[in-house]
Amino acid sequence: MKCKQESNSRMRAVVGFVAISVLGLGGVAIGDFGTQSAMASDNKIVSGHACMSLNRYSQTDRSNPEFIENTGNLQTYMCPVVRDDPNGNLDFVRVRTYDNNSHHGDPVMCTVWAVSVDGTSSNASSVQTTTGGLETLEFALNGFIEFDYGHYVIECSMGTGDQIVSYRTNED
Amino acid sequence: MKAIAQISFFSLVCFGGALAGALISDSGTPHSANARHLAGSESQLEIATLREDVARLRVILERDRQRVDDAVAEDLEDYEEPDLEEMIARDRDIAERRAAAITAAAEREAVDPDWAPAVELQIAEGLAAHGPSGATLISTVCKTTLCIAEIEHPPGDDGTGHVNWLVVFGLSHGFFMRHEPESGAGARTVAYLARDGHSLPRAEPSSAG
Repeated sequence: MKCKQESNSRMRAVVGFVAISVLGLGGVAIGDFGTQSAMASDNKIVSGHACMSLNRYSQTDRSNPEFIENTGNLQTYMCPVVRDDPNGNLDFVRVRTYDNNSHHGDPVMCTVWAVSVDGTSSNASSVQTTTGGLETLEFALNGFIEFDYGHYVIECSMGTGDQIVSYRTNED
Repeated sequence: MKAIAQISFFSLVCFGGALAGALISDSGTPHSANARHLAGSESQLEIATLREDVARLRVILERDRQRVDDAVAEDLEDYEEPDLEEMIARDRDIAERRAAAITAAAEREAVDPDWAPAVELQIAEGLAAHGPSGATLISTVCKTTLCIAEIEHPPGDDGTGHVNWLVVFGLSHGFFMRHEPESGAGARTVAYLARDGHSLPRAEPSSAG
């Protein structure tokens, strides 16, 4: 009888110990997962709706959540890029566009700019669509320099019916 | 540091769990007087040991927490933002070293006769057709993988108006520096342009570190 009671007591102690250990391990795992999630947040996808036409705001259709569309003639858009690290570098920049090639011969041409703090120096790389329809433009950033505490912006020129779906940036 | 704190916390929780389990087991079932006395002595000993462990782990945890706080404070000092003048000076240094590196590379390069003259003409024609009003081409030199073009803005134009020089010149990669007007000369923009499929050389590391 005594032996059975002691056995029960030990069992309860073991169960209590194991339960709290599992909770503790869960806390460690959640902490690690949270850290990894924070690291992955450097990769940013922004809707094309963040892009602004230079001077013809009314000639842009923003009604569709999927994209913005140029409803006027050839015009230029500026798309802001969030920079997390003021001393870091861009890993990649991609712009997802729709080139309405059937309607107009102009390709969608985008330029990514890195601008110095006082604006006197800039670095630029451009790329344009090669086919009609949905296309992801990826910039070649070899030799691209980023100014400390400067900013980035993407400039896109688009013909009638061309669209910007989204753009994606990642910092090293 | 965060991991150390987490492990310390985890250990503290484990010992706390063991302590709680021991307390639960102690009060859970009736014993005979003798057995209760023996078990009680053992439990008290265990509890005393566990209390010592918990106290020791609390000290470790507090020490680790202090280390984490110190590390965070140190990181914040490292990330302290310089003032505007310092930022501008730093960026100018980056730009000037970059320009010097490209100029040096251009001086070393031979001229590709199949590419350079055609692109020099393309730059001149692009500026005339799509460049800002009144801007003139002071010089343009193309070699094998890059070109350097110097543009002067007309009087009264400080050159700050936005121009997509890549579109103007029909090239894909460029680095641009704007210079303020000097005596007898207007504001200038110097365009360092890479041939498609090539990249501009990067600046040498700063001697200042």
